[in-house]
Amino acid sequence: MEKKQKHIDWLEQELPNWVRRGLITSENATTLKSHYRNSDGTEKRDHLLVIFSSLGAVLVGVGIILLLAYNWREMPRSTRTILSMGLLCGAQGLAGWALWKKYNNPGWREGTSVFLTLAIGASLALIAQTYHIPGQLNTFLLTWMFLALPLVYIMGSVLTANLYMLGNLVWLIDSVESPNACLYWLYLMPLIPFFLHWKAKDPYKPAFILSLWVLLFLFIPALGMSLADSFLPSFLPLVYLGFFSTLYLLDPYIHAQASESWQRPFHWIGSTGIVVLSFILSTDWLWDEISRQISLPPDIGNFHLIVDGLLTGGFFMATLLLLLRLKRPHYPLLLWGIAPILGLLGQYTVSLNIIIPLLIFNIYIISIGSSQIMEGIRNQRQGTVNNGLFILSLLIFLRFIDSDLGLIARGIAFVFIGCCFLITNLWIIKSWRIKNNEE
Amino acid sequence: MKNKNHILLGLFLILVLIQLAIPLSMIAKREQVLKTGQIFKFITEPVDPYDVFRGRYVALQIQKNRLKNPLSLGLKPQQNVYVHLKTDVQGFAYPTYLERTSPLKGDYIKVTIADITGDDILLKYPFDRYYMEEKMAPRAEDAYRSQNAYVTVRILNGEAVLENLFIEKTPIYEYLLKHQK
Repeated sequence: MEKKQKHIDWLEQELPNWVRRGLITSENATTLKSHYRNSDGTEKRDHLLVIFSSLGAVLVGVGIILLLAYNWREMPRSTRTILSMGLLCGAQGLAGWALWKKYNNPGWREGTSVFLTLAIGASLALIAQTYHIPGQLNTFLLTWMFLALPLVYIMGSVLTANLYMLGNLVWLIDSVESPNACLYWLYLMPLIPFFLHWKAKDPYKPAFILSLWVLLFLFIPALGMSLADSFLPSFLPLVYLGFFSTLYLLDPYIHAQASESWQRPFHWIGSTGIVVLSFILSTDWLWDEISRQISLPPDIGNFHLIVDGLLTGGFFMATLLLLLRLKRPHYPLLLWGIAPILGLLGQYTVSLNIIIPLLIFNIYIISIGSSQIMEGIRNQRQGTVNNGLFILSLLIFLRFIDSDLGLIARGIAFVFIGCCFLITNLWIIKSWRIKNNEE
Repeated sequence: MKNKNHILLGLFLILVLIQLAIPLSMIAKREQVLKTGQIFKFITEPVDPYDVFRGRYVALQIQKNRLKNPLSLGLKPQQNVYVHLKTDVQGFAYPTYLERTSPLKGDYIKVTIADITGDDILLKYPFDRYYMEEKMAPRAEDAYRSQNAYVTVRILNGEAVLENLFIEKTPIYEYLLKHQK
């Protein structure tokens, strides 16, 4: 697990006490201090090396391409071909050398792998230009991505994995109207061993956490795009509720020991997604559309039907299984986990009266906001309290916007909300200080 | 650790060969057609889209791209077929008839059926773009609107490679340089 600066600071504060009480000698204290300072320094250097090596590789690659592009027109076809292949061979040579001589240096491996990934795309594009080769963008992207994919494992390159995910998303954007759009999920599967490996080896490695952030962010538009021709378009909000709930419930299994917020992408993306979607579902414009679509006959399309059904059902099953696995009732987790069930309830009741799903989701948002405030007070986390206050305030604000109240009434209401915010924060800080002094 | 490194190096070498094989095969196939293929001219009507990853190109619409549908062949859209070519008095190629399988003799080109409407088949030729320097592509589009344009294509055993785009019988780059404002 990554050593945190605050833990090292705490240790440095405690060491003189331990020496004074005779628990360790002063030499031991000096050894411990220098050990943690140096290793932390080494880790930070490695991270910076990776970042700057990769940035350097990208800049060199782009610079070479621009220099070639300036003189491209004057070059005969043979020269262009040789340069295109030369770029690729040069990048391969560099990567091979890094693999042979600098395998233990993550900066070299990441930088050369990224450079080779870009060189593959550049070579294919330059050759296509030289010979005026026709073809679709999605075919070009697939070829590029599959040629670069093995570098994720051979070079152990996390950044190449991120480039692969981005390339696949661009492929999906280009293929969104084709029946093969749902193959996006199949193309992501080769990365499963990569994620499982890092989850087992070091789930708090910054580069791995970054990959998770990228992966989960890309899932958000990808879900909608690959389900664009869904046989049940009204189910799209449910799929997203299931997706976000699954993420939130997975967080304790993957990053239970996280000491920093940024180390919990599942928690943050899951909770933010549930809150945003709940706010959308607390208004009538989406429910009007859903109730209209429910009455339409489903448009059944073969392969799409299977994939769409698997995704919708899969997220629901995952949420239910994760909820059932809770060893004891964990009300905060339960609250976030029931979002897709409430969505399903809304779907079934919207045709009776549109007020029912609106009421469900407005009450749900109030529950989430209140739960955050209580959890924040219990665990003495001001950030969590403010999250809860923000959610409740936003709900009140939006309901006021929806209403027909005049400017003065709205102004008074917002001043009232702001004062509640401030007073609550001051009261919480004061009560925590009193409690800590008593301890 | 050394064994692991050797295995990775071995896998990397295999990957290098695959990464080289794909572009080299693209190059080899087209070079053979360009060096030994027969030259044909096709009248064209370009427009100007943008391929964000592969640069600016002039999209080519070949004028003579329709044939009567031979109903006995049971053809469908997106199917690959072989079209026999003839040359008119001005030296421009045009399609005459098509076959489902690769012919044994004659001048022919492999195309895709873009659409079938009634008795007509709309053909999609395997040369639909001419890559150009980004700033020049829009000027090329302006130029062809009022001028005659055609492309030269090398064809060998049905495989075609685009050679050049001409405007008023002048290669496109020369034409644009001559008419630079």
